[in-house]
Amino acid sequence: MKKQFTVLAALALIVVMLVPNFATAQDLSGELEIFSVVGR
Amino acid sequence: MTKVPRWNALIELYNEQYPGVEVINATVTGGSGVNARAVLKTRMLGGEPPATFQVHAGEELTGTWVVADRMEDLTFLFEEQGWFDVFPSQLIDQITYEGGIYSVPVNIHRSNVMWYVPANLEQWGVEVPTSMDEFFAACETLQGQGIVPLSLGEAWTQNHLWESVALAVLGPDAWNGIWSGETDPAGAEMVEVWDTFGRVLDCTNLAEDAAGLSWQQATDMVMNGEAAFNIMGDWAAGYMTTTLGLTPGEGYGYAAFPGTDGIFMWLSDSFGLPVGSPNRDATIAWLTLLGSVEGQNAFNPLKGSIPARVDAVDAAPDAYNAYLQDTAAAWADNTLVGSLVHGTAANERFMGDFNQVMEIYQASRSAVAAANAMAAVCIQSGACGGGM
Repeated sequence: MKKQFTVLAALALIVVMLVPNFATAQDLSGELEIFSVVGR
Repeated sequence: MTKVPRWNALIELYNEQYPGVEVINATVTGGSGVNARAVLKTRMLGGEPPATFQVHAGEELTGTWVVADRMEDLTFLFEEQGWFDVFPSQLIDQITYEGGIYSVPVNIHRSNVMWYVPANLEQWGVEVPTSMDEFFAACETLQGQGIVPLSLGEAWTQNHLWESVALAVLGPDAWNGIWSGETDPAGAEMVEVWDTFGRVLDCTNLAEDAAGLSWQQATDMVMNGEAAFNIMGDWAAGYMTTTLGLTPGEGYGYAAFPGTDGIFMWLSDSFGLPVGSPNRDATIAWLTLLGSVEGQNAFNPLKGSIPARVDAVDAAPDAYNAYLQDTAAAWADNTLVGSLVHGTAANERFMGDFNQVMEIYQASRSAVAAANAMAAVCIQSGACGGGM
């Protein structure tokens, strides 16, 4: 029981660590206008 | 708006990471950025900045938009990403103003490069000149065979040629002295620069068709065997390698401008975060990608430039051709000086007015008049040691 709890806790920790990064990437939306000087 | 291949690799990488963001590549081509800067100025002053914009690291950025409080300080991003350890300190100095850092450098270009076709030089019996005297000797030999010694294009490429000539005549200390106030822009050394420049112009196609040629067309003159040499920044290597499919060292050769071996006149493309940038989070994500090893290695091999990060080439050495490997080595050992024409050494006001100095010289061919005009521009712009 204790071992299962440890495994679950580790999994939960991994999820907690990954979610913010995942959410950051997914949350970005809208337009990004990149103004470039090209062709010299 | 135009899609440009060399940015596409970065945009595709960004879209893989952030599929919810629609990237709009708003590009204004031509004029060495003069046209783009005019549009940018209208938008910045009108309170409608783009999310981010490309700007040369150095005075073009700090002397224009940073002093006007139009850019956000990016020191937090440099700290977060550990970029203080991977960008050269001289480069960071150029994007720093009053303790803040204001853009993310993507690459390093070299301005003082001479391009040629090795097989053509052999056919014409000309060696690659390493000094101005050797250049003028080669000029005479080539003109005797009806070959244009040095191809030239539209007005800004003439300014570009001028900065290499000035570096050859002055050397690195006196060149830097123009911008620190230690070299008199109207002094004898500068008169010699203009005199030498005039002799170089006599070796070009200026009197024929230069004004109507893009830099690529001037490069093509060398590739087609109409001209022996061309002076251009090493985006020309990107053009010859990526667009024309030539191999560096075989299809085209390269050397420092005569008299500037061991000196690297540099410029850097960078991106900043304007105050009031729409979609700030997406912009910071873009800047983060630009500063990463992955981002720099996606962009630079196609552009014909070396990464601004010192650790990027080692992460993907096979991506960089012989020219870029040589340039990375030169960046590490050469004496470094900033480019005038490409925004490192002087502010935008100086560069705008310098065009008039060039016009005065070409109309009068008076080295003294040009040197005096340049001294006046120094005073007006405050670019030469704070208003000498």
